[in-house]
Amino acid sequence: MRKKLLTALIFIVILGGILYGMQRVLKLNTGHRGTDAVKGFYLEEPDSLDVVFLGASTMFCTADPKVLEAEFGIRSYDFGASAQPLRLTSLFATEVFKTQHPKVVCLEMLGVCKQINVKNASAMNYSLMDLPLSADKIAACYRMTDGDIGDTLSLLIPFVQYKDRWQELTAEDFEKKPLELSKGAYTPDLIADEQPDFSEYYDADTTEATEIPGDTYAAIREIKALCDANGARLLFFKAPNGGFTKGESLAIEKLSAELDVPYLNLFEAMDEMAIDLDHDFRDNTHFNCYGSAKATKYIGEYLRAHYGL
Amino acid sequence: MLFTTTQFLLFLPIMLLLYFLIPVKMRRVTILAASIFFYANFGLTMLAVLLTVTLLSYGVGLSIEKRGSRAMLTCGVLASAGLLAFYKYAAFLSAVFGNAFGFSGEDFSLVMPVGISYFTFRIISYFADVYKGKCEAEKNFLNYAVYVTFFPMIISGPIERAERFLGQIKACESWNLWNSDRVYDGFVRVVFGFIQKLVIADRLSILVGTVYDDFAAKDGALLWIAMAAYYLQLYMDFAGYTNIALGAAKMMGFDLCENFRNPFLARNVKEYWSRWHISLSTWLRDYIYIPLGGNRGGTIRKYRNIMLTFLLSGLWHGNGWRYLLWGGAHGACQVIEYVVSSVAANLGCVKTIDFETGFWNLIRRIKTWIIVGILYIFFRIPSAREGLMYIRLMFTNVHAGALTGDTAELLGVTAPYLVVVTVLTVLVLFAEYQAETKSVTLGEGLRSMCLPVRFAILLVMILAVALFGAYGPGYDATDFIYFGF
Repeated sequence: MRKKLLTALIFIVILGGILYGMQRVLKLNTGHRGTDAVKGFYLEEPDSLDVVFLGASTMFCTADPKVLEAEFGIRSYDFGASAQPLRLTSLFATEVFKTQHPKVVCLEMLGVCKQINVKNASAMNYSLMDLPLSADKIAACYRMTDGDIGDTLSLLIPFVQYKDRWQELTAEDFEKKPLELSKGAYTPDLIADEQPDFSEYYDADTTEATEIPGDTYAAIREIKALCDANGARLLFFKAPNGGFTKGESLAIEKLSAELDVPYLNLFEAMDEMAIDLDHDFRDNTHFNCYGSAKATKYIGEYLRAHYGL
Repeated sequence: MLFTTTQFLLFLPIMLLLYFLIPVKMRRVTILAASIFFYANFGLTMLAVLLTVTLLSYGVGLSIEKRGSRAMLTCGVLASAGLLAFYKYAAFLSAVFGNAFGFSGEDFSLVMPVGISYFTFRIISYFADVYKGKCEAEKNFLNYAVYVTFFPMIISGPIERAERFLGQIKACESWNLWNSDRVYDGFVRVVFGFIQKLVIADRLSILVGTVYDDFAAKDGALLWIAMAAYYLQLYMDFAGYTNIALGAAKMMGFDLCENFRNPFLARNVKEYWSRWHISLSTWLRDYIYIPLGGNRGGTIRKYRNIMLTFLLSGLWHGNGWRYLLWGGAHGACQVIEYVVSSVAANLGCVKTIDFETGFWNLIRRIKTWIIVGILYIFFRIPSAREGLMYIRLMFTNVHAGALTGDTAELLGVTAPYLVVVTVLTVLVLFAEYQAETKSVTLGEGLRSMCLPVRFAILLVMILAVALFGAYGPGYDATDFIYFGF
C-alpha cells in the first residue's frame, strides 16, 4: 500500500511538472504589454518609489519613469497592463502597498464609464498572468467573475486560457527571453500615419456626465481607501486617446469632487505640452516616445508643484 | 452540477475523501448527503420534486409488496409515467392540441427536473420487479433513497435495476474501500470518459454545428461528413458521460451496469440496440416489449410489438414529431431486417452465401452505420421536415471537388484539431474494442502492463484532456446531448 501511495505521489509530481512546463511555453509572452511590467515591479527595491502609476496602456505609454527620474529625480513605476479594466486596477493598488509606500498614486482613468467583459482573455490575462498568487488575487478574480468558480480558475490558471496556443507555437516560445525592464513603460519610436481623432472630446457639447458602472465606482473608492490608509495621495489623470468622450471626462470631474481627488486632464493641456498631433502619437490611442516625453515632463512639473516631489 | 464543470472536479475528490475517511456506518448517509448536495446545485425546486418522488415511490413499493395488488402497481406506474409525461410532453402536446382550446405550448414551458427520464424509469422497473417478486421491496428508506438519487447516475443513467443495485448499497458498509486496484480502475475510466466528452465530442460539436446550422448551403459531401461526425459526437458525448459515472461509482466500490458495447460493430439495427444505451434497451425489452407479448403470438404481433416499443423509445428521447419519426424508423428497420432475412433464408441463390465472413460482416456494419447515422440526423435538426431535406441533399447535392485542402476550414475547425480528434477517436474505439475482445476493463488492461508503460499511458491521457479539452472561457457544460433527455 505504501509503495502504491508513493507511486501515485511520484505520478502527481511528474504530471504537475509537465503541466507547469507546458504552461510556461503556452503562456503568451506579452513583453511590455503586461508580463514584464508586472514582473519588473516585484524586482524594485522595497519602499523605493515616490510615485506609482496605475492603469492600462494609456498610462504606460504616457508616463515614462525614466524621464521622470532623469528630469525631476522622481522615482516611479508604471504598474499596469494592456486593456486593464479599472475593476482590476484595485487589485494592483493592493499589490503596490505590499512592497512600496509611494507618496502619490496616479490613476489613469481609461474605460471609467465602460462595462468590461471580464471573460475577455486579453483584458484580464495581460494583467493577471504574472501577478503572484495571493488571497487578494483569488478574491479579486472571484468577485470579478460574480462567484463563478470555473471562470475564477480560468483567470488564475494561465494554462486554461492559453492551452489552444499549441497550434501556433514557434521556436521563440521555447526560448527564455530576458525581461524588458523599462519600469513598465512602453514608448516606441513609431509615428502614426494619421492624426488621432479626439472629436468625441473636443467637438462634443454635452454637459451631462456619463454614468460610471457600479463595480468600477466601487473599485475606484477601494483604491482611494487604500491610498488613505497608506498615507498616499491619489491623483486621477487622463491621457489623450481617441474615443474618450466629454461625458466621461465630466464623470471623472464629478467623481473627483466627490472623493476630493485632483483630476489632471491632459486633453486640456495639449497646447501647454506642445503636443504635435502629426508627430507625437503612434496610433489613435497612445503617445509615442516623443509625445510621452512631453507628457511626462508636464506630469513631473505638476507633481513637483503640487506634491513637493 | 454537471460532470464537466469545475464544481464537479472539486466535489468528487472531496466527496471521495470524506467517504473513505468517515466511519463505516456513515457511508450510506454520506452517499445520500453527497447526492442531495449534487442535485441541489440544479435548483431547490428540482430537489424537492426528486425527494418527493423518492418518498412517495418508497411507500408505493412497500404497498405493492404488502398487497400484491396489480391495481397498486398500475397506479404507481401511471403516476411515475404521468409525472414524466407532464414535464416532458406538456409543452409539445399543448402545442399540438392547445391551439384548438385557445392556449399555446409556451403556456406550459416547464423546467424539467434533471434526470427525470432516468430516475422515473428506475422507479417503474423497481415497482414491476417488486410486483413480480424479482426483488423485495426495500424497507430501509436510506437504502431506497440512495438507489433513486445516487449522484453518478442521476443525470444520465445508466438505468440501474433495483435487484442489482440495492444489494450493493446494503453491502457497501462491509466493503474494504482501500483497494488501490479498484480506485485505479475507476480513475482510469473517469479520465477516459473526459477524453471522450471534452476532447472528442465537444470538439466535434463545433464541426457539426458549422454544417448542420447552415446545411442547405453546404455540399453533400460535407453533409455526409457532418452526419458521421454527429453520430460520433453523440456516442462520445454519452459514452464519455457514462464512463465518468461508472468510474466515479467504481471508486466508491459500486459496479454499475455497462451502457455501451462497441455499437459501431453492430451488423444490424437489432444488434445495434444490444450495444447502444443498453440499460434503456433492456428496460424497454423487459417492461414494454415482453409484457406486450414479445415475439409470441405470431409474426405480425411481433412486428407490432417492435414498432410500439420503438415509438415509445422515440418519445422517451424527446418531445416532438422528429423523435417519434426516429423511433418509428428504428422499429421499421428492424421489422424490415426480419422480413429480409426470412425471405433470404428461403432464396436458393442467397442460402449459399455465408454472411458471417469478415467481408460480409464489414458490409453489414457499414450498412448499419449509415442507417443509424442518417436516422440521428433527426436528433440534431429541429424539425422532421428539415431532417428529410438534409437527407435528400446528402444524395442530391454532391459535387466533385467539394472536399479541398481547406476542408477543415469549411468544417469550422482547425486542421491540427481535426488530426487530434481523428487520432484520439481511433485510439478510443480501438481501446474499447480491445477491452471487449479480451473481456477486461480499461483499468485491468492497463494494470496488465508494466509500470513505466502504464504510467506513460495514464500521463498521456490526462495531458490529452488538459491540452486538447474544450473547456475554459466560452465552454458550456450544459451542451451535453443526453442531458436533454
